[in-house]
Amino acid sequence: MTVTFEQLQEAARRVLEGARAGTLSPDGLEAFIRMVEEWVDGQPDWLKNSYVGYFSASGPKAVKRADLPKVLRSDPDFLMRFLRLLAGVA
Amino acid sequence: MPVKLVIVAPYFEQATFLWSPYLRGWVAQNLRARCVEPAVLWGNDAVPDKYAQALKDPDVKGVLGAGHGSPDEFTGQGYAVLVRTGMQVPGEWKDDVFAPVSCLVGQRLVPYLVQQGVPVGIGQVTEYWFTAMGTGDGSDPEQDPLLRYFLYAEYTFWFKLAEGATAGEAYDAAIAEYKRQADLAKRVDPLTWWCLQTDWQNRKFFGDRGYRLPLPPTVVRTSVKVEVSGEREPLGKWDEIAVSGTVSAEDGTAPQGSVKVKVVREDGVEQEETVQLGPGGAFSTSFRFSWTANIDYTYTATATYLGWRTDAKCYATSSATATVIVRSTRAKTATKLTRVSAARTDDRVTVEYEGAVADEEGKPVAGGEVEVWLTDDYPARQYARTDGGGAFRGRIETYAGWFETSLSLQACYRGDELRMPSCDAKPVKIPPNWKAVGGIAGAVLAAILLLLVIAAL
Repeated sequence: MTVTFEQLQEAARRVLEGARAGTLSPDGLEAFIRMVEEWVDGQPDWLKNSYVGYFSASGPKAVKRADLPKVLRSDPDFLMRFLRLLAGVA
Repeated sequence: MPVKLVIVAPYFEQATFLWSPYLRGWVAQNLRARCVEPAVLWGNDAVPDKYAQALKDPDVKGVLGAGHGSPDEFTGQGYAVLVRTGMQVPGEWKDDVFAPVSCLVGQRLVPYLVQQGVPVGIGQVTEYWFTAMGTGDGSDPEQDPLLRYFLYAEYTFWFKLAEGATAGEAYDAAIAEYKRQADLAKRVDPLTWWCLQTDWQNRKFFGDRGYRLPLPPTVVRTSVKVEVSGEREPLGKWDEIAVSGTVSAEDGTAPQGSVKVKVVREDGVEQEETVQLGPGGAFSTSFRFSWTANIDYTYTATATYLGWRTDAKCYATSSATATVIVRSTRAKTATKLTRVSAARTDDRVTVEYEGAVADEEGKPVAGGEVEVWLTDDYPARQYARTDGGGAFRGRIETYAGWFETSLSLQACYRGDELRMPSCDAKPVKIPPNWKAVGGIAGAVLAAILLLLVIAAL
């Protein structure tokens, strides 16, 4: 079953809540990244090949959507910013 | 001397590879069309000494572009810091609007600059997120099906400012455009929609909402008047859309140059053409749109004057929009049910009907398909065809309960390429199933009698 963008947003909110409450485990983060993987897999090819990025003075700035799971696993700074974007947290 | 704007366009990693070509191409070209001169700091020119040098020019009145940022820094090529919170702000910067696309600078850097005397600043209080395909050479946002949403929204601010709007008006127009682009993107990609939503909600205005760029008197404002008319060709299956109008200048002179005319049909089909202005600034053109169906269509025509320069003057760009509805040429029809009757045999019901279909002149519609059905609990449905006199008839057989029921018989002529659909309805009373009702009543009566007999004994 394909993961929807709304489900991804909901998962991001849960991860951030867990982080705030001190109950977030590595398994919880990995589950979120696997959801991102499934969401990306469900996208049409042209969107998988598109970029998502931002203009901040640290970390990777724009990544291919298809590479998102890899970047989220390897870059905690990007992961945190991406979680905040999805969750709508300033 | 024209107003100049400095465009910071670093080009050294993926985010800037995606965004900056459109600064050097499309943004610069559109500022020129509005009589504002862009000074592009491209790639290795987007560094501190060249930035400071560019801003020393007294004709420079603003800074736009893109660069990585933090709450206290705006950077250029290779993250070289161009502007920093707490720095001594040079006097010549204090008449420059500061509104580049950059993450987090709205938290401290932009408020600091405004506090130091910069008239207007716009800054992001979170990350500025965007999506892009990385396609195109930067000359037209349409080349990148994702980045275009961000470009159209963001640069509305600068284009409006260059057209003479106040900073507040230009900012409001940009935010409205962000919302409009977000709506458009939602159908294409939810992540792009969400980035746009996040961006406009966190793009904050600082400073004087009433500030205007000091456009020099050599800039001649123009205005466009546009009219559009449409006619449907009944046999050829197309709509002919005629667009005409005039471009006039505020100083009474006749503008030269060309107008880009774009016509968009409500289903998204569009055509455009660039036409040269004739005597008195007049223009006209026409487009032919094929039908996809013989229905009403709304066409929106936008005429954009592309500007014109002479040695002494610069005629600024302007645009106007007009719409026309081209009506369906299908004739109206009337469907009439002339007779409806119902008969029951046990639990089966037969509804017989007769009717006719005629056009608005009363001529019979022959060979038309009429959908006939019973409403509510009896969804029996069938299709009848009109004869040479426009009449249709038939019967619907269905099952019904024991008791009397009121239903409705619906008849709808389905229409075709030349005629509109029409419907009629008549009530149908289904008589009760006396045999069944009598049987039940008899059984109940017998049971009562039996109870009475038992009670008497």
